[in-house]
Amino acid sequence: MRGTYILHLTPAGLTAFSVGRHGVAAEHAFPHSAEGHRDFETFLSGLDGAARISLLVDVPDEAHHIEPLPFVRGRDRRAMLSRRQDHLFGDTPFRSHLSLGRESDGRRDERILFAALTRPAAIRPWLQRIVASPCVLAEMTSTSFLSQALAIPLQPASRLFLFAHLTPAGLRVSCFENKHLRFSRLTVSSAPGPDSDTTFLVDEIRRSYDYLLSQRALPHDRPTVACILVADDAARDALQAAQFASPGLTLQPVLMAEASAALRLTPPGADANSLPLLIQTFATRRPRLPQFAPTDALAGQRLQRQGRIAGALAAAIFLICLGSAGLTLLEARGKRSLAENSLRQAAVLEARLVDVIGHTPALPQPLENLRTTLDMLQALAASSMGPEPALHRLAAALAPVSGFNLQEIEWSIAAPGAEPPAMRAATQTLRVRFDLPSGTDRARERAHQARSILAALDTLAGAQIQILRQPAETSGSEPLRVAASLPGDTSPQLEVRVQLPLNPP
Amino acid sequence: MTPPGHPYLRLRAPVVVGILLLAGGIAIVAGSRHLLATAENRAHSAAQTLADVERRLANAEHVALLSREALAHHAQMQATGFDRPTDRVRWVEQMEALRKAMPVVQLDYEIGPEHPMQGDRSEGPPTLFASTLHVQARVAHEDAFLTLIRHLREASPALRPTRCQLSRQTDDSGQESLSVRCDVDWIRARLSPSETASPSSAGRAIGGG
Repeated sequence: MRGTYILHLTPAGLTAFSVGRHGVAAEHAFPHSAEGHRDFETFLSGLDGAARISLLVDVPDEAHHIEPLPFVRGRDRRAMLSRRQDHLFGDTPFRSHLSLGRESDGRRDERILFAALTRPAAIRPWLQRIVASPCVLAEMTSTSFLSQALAIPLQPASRLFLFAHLTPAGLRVSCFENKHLRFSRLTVSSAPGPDSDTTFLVDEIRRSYDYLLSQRALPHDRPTVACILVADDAARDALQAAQFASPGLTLQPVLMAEASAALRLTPPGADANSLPLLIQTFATRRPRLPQFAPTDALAGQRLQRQGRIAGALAAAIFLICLGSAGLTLLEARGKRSLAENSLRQAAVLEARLVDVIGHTPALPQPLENLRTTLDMLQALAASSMGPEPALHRLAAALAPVSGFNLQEIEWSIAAPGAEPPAMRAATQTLRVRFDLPSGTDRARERAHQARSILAALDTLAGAQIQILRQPAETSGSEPLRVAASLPGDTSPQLEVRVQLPLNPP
Repeated sequence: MTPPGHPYLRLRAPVVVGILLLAGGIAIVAGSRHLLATAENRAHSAAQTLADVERRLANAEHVALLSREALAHHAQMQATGFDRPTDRVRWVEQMEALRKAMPVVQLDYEIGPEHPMQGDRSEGPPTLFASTLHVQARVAHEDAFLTLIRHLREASPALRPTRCQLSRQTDDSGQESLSVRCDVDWIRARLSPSETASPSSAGRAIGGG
C-alpha cells in the first residue's frame, strides 16, 4: 500500500488520514495508550516503504514568540536562529520559526516568529514509531500554522483579527497580523462539537483577547474582529446574541458550509469540527508551513529526496544519452544511405565499365606501342619527300648569285624518332661546297663571291647556316699565308652546312 | 520493507535504477557510436569503391577513344602500305627499268638487309624496320638526278630517302657529269604479334650494277 498519509495528533490520540485521488479519508484512530501505540506500529508496518507521512500536531502546549533580529543571511542567519531557539525553547526538539518580514523603520530588523511544541512527551512516542517504520516522515507542523490557510481567505481585508475554530483537540483561538500567525492557543474541551455551548466559545475567545490585549498585541481603541467557524445557524445566532457581552470584540460567526464554499473545499457536514477542512487544505493546498520535526527525523525524507534527485539525474542522463544516440543513429542512417547510394552508383558504373571494355576494339599491339609506332610512322611519312624541295629552295636562294662553281651537295634527313615527341619535327641538312676563284690576283673576286653566296644562303627562311670552310680572305680567325707552292689541294673553297626545317615558316 | 537501522538502504532502489539507467545510457551511446563508426567506414569504403570505378571507367573510356584513334591511324597506315613487306623484286625491276629509261652513265645499287629502325621507341620487340637501298649513279645533270629520285620513289609510298650526295665530276675528255650517291629506306611496320618476332624474312643484301 503506497501513498500519502496525514496523521493528526491530539492529546487524546492520533488519527490517520489517507490522501488519495478521490480526497482524504480517515482510516484509523489510535488512542494515546500502550495499546494504541502497538496498533499504530502495526498500522505503520503495513504501509509501503515509500509511503509519505505528514504529522499535523494539534496540542495545547505550543509556544510562540516574536522577536526582531538583525537581518542577516546564510550561515550566520542559521547560527543566530539556532542560538535563539536554544535560548527560547531549549527543552524541546520540536521547534520552528517563521519570518514575518522586515520592519519598516529603524535598522529594519527582521521579525521572526519562533514557535515550539513544548511538551515533547506527547509527540515522541508517535514520532519514534514513525521514524522507526519503513515510511518516510515528510513534515511535521502545527495546526495553528495550518489554520492560517483557513483564516486568511475568510478575512482578507483584516490586518489584525482573531480566528477561532473547533478541532477534535478543542477550541483553537489564533491571532493573525498582516496575514501571518502571531499567537495561537488551544483549549481542550471536554465535549467539542455542535453542542459546544456558546458561553464556552465566547469565554475562551474573550480570554485570549484579554491576554493579547495585556500583551499590547491588540489595540485598545478599536474593536477586534473575531472570526468563528460554527456548524449551523443556531450556533451563529447564539454567537451574534452574545456580541453584547463581548466589549472590544466583534464576533463574526461563519458557517462551516460558507467557509467550505469560500475555500472551495468539500463541506464537512453538520459538524462544528474544522478538522476535515484543515486536512483537505493540508492535502491539497500544501501551504508553506514551518517544520517542527528534528533534523534526524527527516533523514528518511532527505534520503528519499536525494534518491529521487539521483534517479531524476540518472533519468535525465539516460534521456540525454537516448537523444544523443538517436541523433547518432540518424547520422549513421544517413551514412548507410550514402554508402548504399555509392555502391548502387558503383554497380551502375561497373556495368558501364564492362560495356566500355567490351566495346573497346582489340589492337594488334599494346596501345602505347601502337601509338608510338603510328606517331613515328606519321613523322616518317611527313619527312619522306626526299631532297627535291630542299634543292629547289637552295637553287632559288642562289639564283641572284652568278659565276659560282657549286662542286658538291650532300642532303640528309634525320630519323624523327630519335628525338622526344616534342622535338620530333625532323630537320634536313644540306652540306654545300663551292669552288671559288683561285690565285692571289683574284682574292677580291673570291671574297666577293664567298660573301655573295653566304648572303644568298642567308635568305633561306628558317635556315641555320654553319660555315665549315671559307677562304682566308673572308675569315679573321685563320692565318692568311701566301707562298710559292702550297701542299695538297690549294683551291679555295667555301663549305657551308645549312639546316632547313621541313616546312619553311 | 526497509530495516529502520539502515536508512541509507532507502537509496537502494534509486541507486540501482540510476546505475541501470546510466549503464543503459552509456551502452546505448556506445552502441550508437559503434554503429555510426561502422556506417562511416562503410560509406568511406563505398566512396572509395565508387571513386575507383569512376577512375577505371574514365581510364577505359580514354583507352577506348585512343584505341579507336589508333585503329583509324592504323587503317590509314595500312592503306599507305607501310605494313607491306619490302618488295625487293619490284625494287629491282624499278631500278632496271630506270637504267633503261634514263641516260645513266653508271647505276649501281645495293639493297641492304631489313633492320630495326633507329629511334624506334616502342617497348618490347621492335616494330619499325627498314631496308636501305644504296644507289650510286652518274647522271648528266641535276634534272636527271631529280628524275632518278622520282623514279626511285615510285616503287612504294613507304620509301623514304634519307641521304643524297651530289658531286660534280669532269672526265678526261672534259665532259662534266654528276656523281650521285643516295640512301633510300623502304619502311615497314610490323604490328601483328606474329610479325613482331625476329625478322627472319630479312634475308641478305642484294645488289646490281
